[in-house]
Amino acid sequence: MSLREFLTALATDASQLTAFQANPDKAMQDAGLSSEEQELVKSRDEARIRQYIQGSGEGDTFLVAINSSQAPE
Amino acid sequence: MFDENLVVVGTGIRVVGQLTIESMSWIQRADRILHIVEDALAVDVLSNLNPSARQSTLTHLYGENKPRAETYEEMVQTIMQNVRESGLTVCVLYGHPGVMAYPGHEAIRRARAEGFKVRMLPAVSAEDCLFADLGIDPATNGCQTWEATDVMWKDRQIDPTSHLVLWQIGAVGDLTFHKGRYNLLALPLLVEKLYRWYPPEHLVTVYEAALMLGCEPLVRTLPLSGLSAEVVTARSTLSIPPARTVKADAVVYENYKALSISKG
Repeated sequence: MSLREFLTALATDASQLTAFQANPDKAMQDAGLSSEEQELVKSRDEARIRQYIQGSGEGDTFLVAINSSQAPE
Repeated sequence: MFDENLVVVGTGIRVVGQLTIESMSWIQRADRILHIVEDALAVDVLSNLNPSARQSTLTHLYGENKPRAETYEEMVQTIMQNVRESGLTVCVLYGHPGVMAYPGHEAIRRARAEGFKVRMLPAVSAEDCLFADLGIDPATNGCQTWEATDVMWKDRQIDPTSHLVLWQIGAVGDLTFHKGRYNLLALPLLVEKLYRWYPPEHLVTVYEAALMLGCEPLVRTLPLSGLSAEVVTARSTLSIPPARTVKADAVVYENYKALSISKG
C-alpha cells in the first residue's frame, strides 16, 4: 500500500498503530511501503511528508482558520 | 439516546492518533457528513469511515482574500440545510470543534432553535498540544487564552502573573482567508501593546503542533521584541509565560488559615 493509505489505516486501527509504534521498520515493510517512503517517514520531516502525501492525490493542503475576531463597536 | 440530528466532532490536531473512537462511530453512522479539515489525508480517513465524506468538504467556501466571516456564515447555512434534509448530519472540524471555531457552535445553536437534537464532542485542540509539548499545566499559574486579533484591538486586561496563549498570531489583524501567508502589518501593534505587561526581553514561544505521526512540533523561543512576521505562520500559536509572580490575597489568606482546613 502507499504511504498515504498506510497513515490512513493507522488513524482508525489501534492494533496497526501499536504495531507501528513497537517496530516502525517492520510495520512499514509489512505494509509494502517503498524504500523511499520508509526513509521519508523516518526522516520525520513533516513538510516533506505532507508534500509527498498531497502529491499522490487530489486536494490542496492549506491552513484552516475557523475563527475570526469581531471588530470592536 | 444517540438519536441526535446534528453532531459536531473534531479530528484533533493530528488526525492519525487523535481522532476518538466515539467520533469515528458518529462519522460512520452519519447520513450526511460535512467537514472542514486540513488535508487530503484527513479526507481519506473520513472517507474510509463513511464514503459520503469524499465529496462533502466545506473548505471550498474559502476564497483567497474573501472575508472569513462570510465563509463561516455560508458554512453554517450549508450545515443547516443538511440537518433539515437528513436524519443525522455529522460535521467534522479540524482540532477541537468548539475551540477557535465558529461554524460548529453556531450551527448547533441554530439547529437547537429549530427543534433539532444536537451535540458537540470535545477533541484535541492546538492548546492541548501546546500544554503537552511545552510542559505547561494551566493549574500552576492559570491560563488566559485569547485570539490574537481580539487582544490587539479590544480593551483586554492581561494578567502578567498568569500564562497567556494567543491564538492565530500568524493571522493577526487579517480577517480574510489566504492559502499562504497572511498580512501581518498589524503584528507590531500587538507587540507594542503587550509591552504594557511584558518587558521587550521577556521570552515567548512560537508554537506549531505536529500534524504528522512521528514528527516533532515547532517550538521557537525568542524575546517578545523579536516577534515579527518572519517567525510566525498561519499555524502558529503564541505562548507567553508569566512575567512576575502573584502575591497572596492577604486578607482572605489569613481568614483561610483561621479555618484550619489543611493541617500538615
